Amino acid sequence: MLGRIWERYFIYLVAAVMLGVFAILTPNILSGANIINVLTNAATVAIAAAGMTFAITGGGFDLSIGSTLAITTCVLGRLIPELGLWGSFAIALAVGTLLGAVNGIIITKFQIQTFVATLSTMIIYRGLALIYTQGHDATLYSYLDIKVFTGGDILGVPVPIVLTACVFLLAFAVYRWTPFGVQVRSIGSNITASRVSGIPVDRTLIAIFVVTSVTAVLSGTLLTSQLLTGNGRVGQGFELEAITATILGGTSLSGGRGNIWGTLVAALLLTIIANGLNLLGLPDQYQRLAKGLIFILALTADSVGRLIRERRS
Amino acid sequence: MKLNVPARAALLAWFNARERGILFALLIFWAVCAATNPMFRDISTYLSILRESSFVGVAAIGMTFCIITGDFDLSVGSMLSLLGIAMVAMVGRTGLVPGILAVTLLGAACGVFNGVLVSRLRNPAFIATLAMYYIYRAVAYIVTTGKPVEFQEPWFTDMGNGSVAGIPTPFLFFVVLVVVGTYVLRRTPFGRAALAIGNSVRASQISGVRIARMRMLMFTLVGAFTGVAAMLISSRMWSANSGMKVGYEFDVIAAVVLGGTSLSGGKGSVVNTFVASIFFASLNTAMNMFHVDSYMQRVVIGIVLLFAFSLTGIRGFVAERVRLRRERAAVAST
Amino acid sequence: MADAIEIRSITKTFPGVTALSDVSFSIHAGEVHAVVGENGAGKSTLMKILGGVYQADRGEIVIDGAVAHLRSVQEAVAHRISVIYQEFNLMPELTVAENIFVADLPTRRFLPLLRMKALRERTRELIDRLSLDLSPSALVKNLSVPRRQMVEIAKALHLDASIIIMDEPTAALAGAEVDKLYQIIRTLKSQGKTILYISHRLKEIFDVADRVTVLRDGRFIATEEVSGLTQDAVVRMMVGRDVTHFYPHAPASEGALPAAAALSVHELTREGAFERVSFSVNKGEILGIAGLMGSGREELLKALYGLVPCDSGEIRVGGRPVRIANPQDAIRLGIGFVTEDRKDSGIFPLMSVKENVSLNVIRRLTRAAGTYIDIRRERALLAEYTRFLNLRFASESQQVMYLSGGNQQKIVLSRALAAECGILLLLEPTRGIDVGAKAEIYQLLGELSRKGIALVIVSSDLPELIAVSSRVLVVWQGRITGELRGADIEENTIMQCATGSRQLTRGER
Repeated sequence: MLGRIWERYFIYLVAAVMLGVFAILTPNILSGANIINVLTNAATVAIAAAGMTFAITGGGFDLSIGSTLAITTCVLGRLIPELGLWGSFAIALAVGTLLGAVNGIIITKFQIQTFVATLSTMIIYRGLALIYTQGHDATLYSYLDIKVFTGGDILGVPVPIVLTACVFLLAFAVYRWTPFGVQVRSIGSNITASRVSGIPVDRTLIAIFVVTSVTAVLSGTLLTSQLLTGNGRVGQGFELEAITATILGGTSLSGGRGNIWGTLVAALLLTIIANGLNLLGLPDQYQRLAKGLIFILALTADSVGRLIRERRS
Repeated sequence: MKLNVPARAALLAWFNARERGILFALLIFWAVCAATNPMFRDISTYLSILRESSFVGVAAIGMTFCIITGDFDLSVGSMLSLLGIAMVAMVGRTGLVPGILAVTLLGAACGVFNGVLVSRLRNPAFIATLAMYYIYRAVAYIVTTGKPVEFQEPWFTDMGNGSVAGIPTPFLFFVVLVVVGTYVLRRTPFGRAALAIGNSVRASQISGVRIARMRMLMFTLVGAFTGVAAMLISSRMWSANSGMKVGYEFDVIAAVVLGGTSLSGGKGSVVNTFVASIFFASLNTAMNMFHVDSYMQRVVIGIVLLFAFSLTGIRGFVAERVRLRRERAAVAST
Repeated sequence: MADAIEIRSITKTFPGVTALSDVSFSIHAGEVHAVVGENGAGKSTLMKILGGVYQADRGEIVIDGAVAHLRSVQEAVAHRISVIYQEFNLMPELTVAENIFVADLPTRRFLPLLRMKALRERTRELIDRLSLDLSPSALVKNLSVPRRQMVEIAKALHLDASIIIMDEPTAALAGAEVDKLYQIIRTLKSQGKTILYISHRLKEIFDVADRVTVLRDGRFIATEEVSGLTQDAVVRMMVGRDVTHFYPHAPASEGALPAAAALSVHELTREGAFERVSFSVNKGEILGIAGLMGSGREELLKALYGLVPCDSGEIRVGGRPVRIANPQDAIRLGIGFVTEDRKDSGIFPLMSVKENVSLNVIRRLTRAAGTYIDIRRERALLAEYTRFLNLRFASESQQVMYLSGGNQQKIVLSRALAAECGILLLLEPTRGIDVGAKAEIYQLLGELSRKGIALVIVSSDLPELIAVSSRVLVVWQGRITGELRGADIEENTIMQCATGSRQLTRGER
């Protein structure tokens, strides 16, 4: 029982501790402007991680979201000059839905494990992104409409924060209060029993992968808004970041047990660390080190806890 | 060359023993390429393919063992960058052979570290090696402050770029290691224990297999083989840096899985991994020779992977249809 | 009485084997109808056909007078048939309520939002209908096996099944839990449900069923009223031959062999499992250990093999005190272990027959300082045990997962024996094995004891334990309450000791 509480709330503890450490080292970190900065940066990973939480709760992974992210930036970069912001955004969403559905169909109809299936589509989708832009950047420097996503605000709150809040509230509601949420947990817990129990497993799986792709499109839109460029090379390793946030947030790797808010806190934590390290003047690579070390810390704490429990029993 | 009966029987047995589908795929692919492109009738093309296949293939040998026991290691690419940097940095001072030994040992040490996380501390391999994926590369960056290291003496760069008696040197390493690897897997108690663990952890425990120790050794093997691969690759590139070969782990895992080793463990073949690595290298070379757009190449590789992975699914599907047809025929004829 | 189900001339073949051949019989509405037969008799195939998982090649199923096409699980459910499989189909991370209603959760009219209160109430209503001991919001993974079975039964009720098929429902239950199940079955029957009960345990058929159908080799043998049958009669129908020599002759009684204690245990204790256990086993003796589930008998056996650590006490092998901290120690001391769950912890499914048999002793079959496995010696080992145990397989490189259950168990046995153990520990050795193969294994145990090997058997099958053992220990709540010999080895005495109502140890005689 203690183990479960630990698993759920570990990340909150670490986040608090880290925030405390950085607050001492760089008092700037608690300034209003910086907090807004952090929340904005966190949005990109957080939103995609919300989708990934559904995937992992359902017992699988989506390794292709980094490539979907890239495709989104390319689509927006190429189409905004011609179709305007909202038209291109709609198309990007449609493309994302299609890519997610293809993932789902491959997994269900060809009976391939999610890991290897999305590993393959990760390669294919990125290839498609590069073909579409022929490897060039698609810049939007003169089409600043898209800045509304990262530069504007709604009722004084920056758009990314509002967007993240909406996505997570929706994710939580779906997870906890809809049949879909129960069925995702069911599939992640025991897929054969779910099938025998009459759940439309294939349909639900496809839906899960559509969710991960759509959240990737939203993240991609935020990223394009920040960079004002569409490029087929962005997002490499993005899927692992989303997975990292999801797992650190307390979602169980074996499926059936997800933690939506934990994912949000974990994404924030990772961004706080990046931000803190930046303010301390350390280069980006240290963030990777930090990410890895937090993982190790989490794992060690978990193992030690487990070993203690076993020794006692 | 006529084989006598026992030898022919043995050859047939070897052929049927484990799914050699990938071998057929490779031979057919080569045949098709040779028929449609004159460069594929030139021995130098094949030598180049064999060379290229070694860079992923060597690490894939170690990964085969790891996957057979039911684990896998996502940190291989990051380990590679760190080990490559170590190799290039010290080879000038240690000389070639001590340098190779040193980098292999260093790789093994990294493997032990991974192994401790997974096997002794009992963390899921996915998460533990994901963590190390970040850490190894970060360490590599910090140690080199982001700058590449170089070493251009021919006695070093010949390892990756040279040939011995016409055969590319990396490929010689590859073949030797494949022979050693397959021997260990099939003909030693160690290999049997690895297969046993992949089949059933509980049953292995009851049979007296030291599970924790074996799993640790698998990761150590992965590290050691990655060390050799790092040596070959950094030799080929005359340099090493912390950003090299991002995504390498996926190439390695893909080669192992394409060769028929299942991710759930319990069965596998080093020889098949060998063939699969060559297949990948052939595919890449062929696409270059056919002037396939380099971006399209990725799409092709992804599709090939999907096709290969779904083969088990397709094979099952086909077998089911054949069985149904046979059943109906049997019923109809009574 | 009306027929709930009429099975007409059902035939089903798989490649190489005819599972069912022209089977016809009927099941009356509202009765508890047992179906028995050896493994391979076709009962589980028939059950899967009724459950919509397989389709028969020929023949029909008639339900309530109309021909039913059960092409899928959904269609079977639509015909109000519900199957409770031995491996439950439950999702551990979901609650009881969610498991029951997972395909059909109550939602609000215009939005896909769950109505949690309605879910809870409807679950409670189902649970109360059978007076089950469940809480709707409990997570299934925290439930004991009997409770999980109750969830399955509640699920069947929810689907408004009128025909409930139970596959080996008592396989993981013991004692009072079995009685509770009988109660539930009687309640279901009183509500007009038809129960199809498939079991290996003949005693239960006589406890709970109205009529029984016997299948053998895919063919229908007979359907009879249970009241007019004896157990022997049923076994005869199942096996098709006289099985008076079913159990081997009593093994050499003590005294016939020099009383050399192969294994002795003194004040062995493991907190929470067993306490101050002392006994010894002589060479050639077959010691049975009886007890209810949870009595500690399994842990005790596992402790003797190093699978479970002990807090205090002493173990002696061949008179010498030893430490058995893990299976390697045990193997080195010549102790072998055969598990009950061969699929999970016995066989290496993807590995060959040859590799399965040789694994424990693989190091002895090597040359060049243990680095090179000598395939010829491996083959010789396999040949030796094929002869000894009458193993049946297609080729030495056949993957073990394709063998029959009985052969798989024999392979597990071979592997343990290959290490030339002097002491063999067996945990439920004949679980899930058909009558024919069981007889072979009993014969084998007799032979092994004649060779001087000490055998310790833990089994829930009392008749088996009684017939095979020369001495029986009974365990209750971690302590030995009975050490029985000779005439004392019979069911009543054992059950009394097993439930703690009697103590019959050396001191009490």
